[in-house]
Amino acid sequence: MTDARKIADRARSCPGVAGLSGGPFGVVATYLPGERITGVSVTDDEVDIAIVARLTEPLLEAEPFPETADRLRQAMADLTGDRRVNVRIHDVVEEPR
Amino acid sequence: MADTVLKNQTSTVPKQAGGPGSALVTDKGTTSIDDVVVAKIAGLAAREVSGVHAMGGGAARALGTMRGMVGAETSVTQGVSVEVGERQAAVDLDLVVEYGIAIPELAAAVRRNVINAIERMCGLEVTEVNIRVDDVNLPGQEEARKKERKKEEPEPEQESRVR
Repeated sequence: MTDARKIADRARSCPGVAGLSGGPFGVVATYLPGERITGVSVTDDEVDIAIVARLTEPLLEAEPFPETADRLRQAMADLTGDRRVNVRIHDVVEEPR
Repeated sequence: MADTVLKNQTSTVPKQAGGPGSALVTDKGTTSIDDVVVAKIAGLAAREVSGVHAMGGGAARALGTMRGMVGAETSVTQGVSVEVGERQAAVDLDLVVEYGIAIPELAAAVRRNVINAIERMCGLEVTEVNIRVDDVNLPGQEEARKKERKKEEPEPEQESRVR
């Protein structure tokens, strides 16, 4: 289950991702002995990731969320294999460039 | 009327192959976007249009002012309510406009900007943007308020009371 930790690290390093989030009620998480990885949950055929996206000004020059999601999927393709990667945009933060 | 305006304007939005909404559900996984995200983007996009003075109905604005007094930021989502599905979104906006603005034109500009922003950023198809104009901000109002505040403040150049 070290996969979840690696996936979380890869996700955080993507531009357009301000951070990981637990999703509604904090249910998107992986529970490990002595540790809890918020924002990533891995099953045999699916990977769920909940993120807080970064919004840059002006609004029309920010990266669209579908592109952010694709970038995430590409960044962790070797870890997720042929599992479906479901990305949930749980919140956004505005950040001046 | 909202419908006819909407139709004209969605056609100007550059669409990806397959139209908006198709980018979200792919065979490699789905991308879901929470309501609050769409609401924040709608709020930011509406405020970008000049002529929009504030957002929210009377009660929401009063609450926002109180929050401002205690130092909290007024929320971006004030005056915005959204309904988000898997591929589509609908938006309702409450606006306060500046005095001397042609409201139908402003509403059309806000609608255009909100639709553009949501369709581009979220990849959701926007089915409708309903706009309600709650109030008009008169130019005198703010200055009168500022003057009143100045009166309350003690005069800066006071003679020192101790020597």
